[in-house]
Amino acid sequence: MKSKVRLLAVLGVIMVGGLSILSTIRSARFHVAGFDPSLKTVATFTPSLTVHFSKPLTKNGLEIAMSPNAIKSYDISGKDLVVKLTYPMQAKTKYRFTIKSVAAESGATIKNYTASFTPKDMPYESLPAGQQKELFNNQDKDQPAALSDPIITHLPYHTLGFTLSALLSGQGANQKLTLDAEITLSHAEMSDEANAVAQYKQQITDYISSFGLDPSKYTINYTVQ
Amino acid sequence: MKSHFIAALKHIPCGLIYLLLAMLTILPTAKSYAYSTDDFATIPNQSWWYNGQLCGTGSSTTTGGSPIGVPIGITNYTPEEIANALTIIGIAKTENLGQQGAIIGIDTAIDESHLENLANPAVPVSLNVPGKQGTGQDFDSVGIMQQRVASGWSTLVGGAPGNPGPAESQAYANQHPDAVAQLMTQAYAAEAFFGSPPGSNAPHALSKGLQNLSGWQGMDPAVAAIKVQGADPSVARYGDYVDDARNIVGKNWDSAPAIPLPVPLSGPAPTTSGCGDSAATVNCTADATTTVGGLSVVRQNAVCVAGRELSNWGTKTGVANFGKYSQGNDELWCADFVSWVYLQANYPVTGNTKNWRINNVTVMRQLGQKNQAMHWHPTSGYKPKPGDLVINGYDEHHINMVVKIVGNKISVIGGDQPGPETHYPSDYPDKSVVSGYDISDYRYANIEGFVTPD
Repeated sequence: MKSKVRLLAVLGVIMVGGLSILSTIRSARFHVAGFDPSLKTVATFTPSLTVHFSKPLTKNGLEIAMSPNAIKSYDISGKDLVVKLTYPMQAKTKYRFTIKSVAAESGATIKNYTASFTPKDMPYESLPAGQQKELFNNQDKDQPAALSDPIITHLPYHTLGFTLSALLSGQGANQKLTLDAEITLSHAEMSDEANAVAQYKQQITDYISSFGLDPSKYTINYTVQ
Repeated sequence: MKSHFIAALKHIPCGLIYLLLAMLTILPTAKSYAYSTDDFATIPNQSWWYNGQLCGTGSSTTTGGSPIGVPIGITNYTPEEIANALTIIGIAKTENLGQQGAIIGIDTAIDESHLENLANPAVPVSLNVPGKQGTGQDFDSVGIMQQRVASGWSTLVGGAPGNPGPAESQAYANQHPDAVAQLMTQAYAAEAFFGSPPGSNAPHALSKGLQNLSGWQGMDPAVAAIKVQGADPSVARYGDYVDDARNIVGKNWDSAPAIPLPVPLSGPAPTTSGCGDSAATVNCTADATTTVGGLSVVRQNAVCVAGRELSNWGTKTGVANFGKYSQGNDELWCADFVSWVYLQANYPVTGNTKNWRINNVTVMRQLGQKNQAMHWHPTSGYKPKPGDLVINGYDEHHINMVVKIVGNKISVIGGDQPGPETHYPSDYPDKSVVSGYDISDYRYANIEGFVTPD
């Protein structure tokens, strides 16, 4: 009887020790510690995905991919890799997330780690509070920088002879602001069209100058009707 | 002379007026005189749509409109003058300009000629034109719109070169009797005043009218009239007759038939009533009471509310100003703004007047996807309309409202948009503004889709 107890005690010690050793080995090894949100709860409107690692990260050699691609940007913070997502993602579509290469400050690396998730179609109210807050705080701030031009609050501007408005064209970083000036001549003005148009152009530049702005800094597209 | 004539008419019995007006309609060239004593002076300015009773003396409005073919006058206008007004309405209908176009045309004709087809003694050939109803003299002006041959209003001659004075203009006109007669044809005078849809293959004389005046639908009628006529704003009195024009149009719009254009136009037809070109715009000079050009009353009112907020905003910033949209919350307020605009249009986006505010772009889109008060349309395959809410950016970072569309160019108005001192991200929402701008092509502008009221 005593021998059995002793045997069990020895086995227990061995198991605990083994687990402890395994744990020590595992913690020493550089690995993915988890996702936030968990991959099973990613929603179509989830704005970002954080990958927790076991060790502080370095940007050196960091390379990730997703298929279909929903990566807007990514960065590291301590032991975390934060991936900003392009939302909404497609519901019922399997997204394959690959960490092609990531390195810890210690020099350890992970290559070609793969995980998958299928976004759920969830109403905003059902998202975790953190995701709701992130979605709300994302809005409005990412508008085209071109719209910060000081002229924007003085347009559109209408007179009897012309309409001056701000026109945003292009995409992404190439978006630019130009001014559209539509000059409308009356029958009476048609008899001396060139002079009338010149007068309206002067009025337009005077209007811009009246706010202390330099008209020559703007591209003004004139159309005469 | 005219005042004596009008005074005499006031004694004609009402029943006889019906008979005479009916004869006038059947025989438009016959000389018949009648007069309606109906007085609509108390009708408010802001309504587009009036109907009145012929010869009524008490209640001034009905919902039935006039009997078909019977023109309804108002004080100080003879049946001949009202018949000319009906011609203007008929051309406006043919050109799909809506009541606003007709109001502007009639307002102009009242100021120019008191709706009479005037010959000009200084242009003797005009005195021989059949159908003249009086005389007036100003340069070589003739007809109900007082248009001038010398300044190119006729399609038959190009107009006098340079900038001729009265004598030269009159001599030029007198040398072109066919052109004078054309300008004294009421339907042509109205057609020339209304111009042609941009893009149509119209002669020059028909390409400087109301439809060629950018944004006419949103202008005060008197301002639009000044612009088309090339009048001196300091002396023009078009504003004095807008109420009369509204009354005449309101009472006769339903019954006045469309009239074929004397000079047919080719080219693209207007796609929306009241717009005159491929544009979709909203007239905000009066409260919307009916669908115009496929735009519901809700859409029209929402666009006009947004426009007024833009006009009133200026360079203001801060929660003291945007708080009315956000119910006092100091928060990112683009969705608050459009929610508030639709509340003012009596159409809360939530379908609930008490809980009308949505402060979140994502929720606004999901509201559309629920297909209740609002509806979701991805950009691909959808042609936006004024009143649509725009989900900007692939990450749904912003929402604003379409207020006008011309081709693929849209004009938008929104709140919490960049102001002169707004830098990402710390200056939102306290230095952002209500602003309006155009997007050159909505299909390639990072617009994910539209949330719409219908």
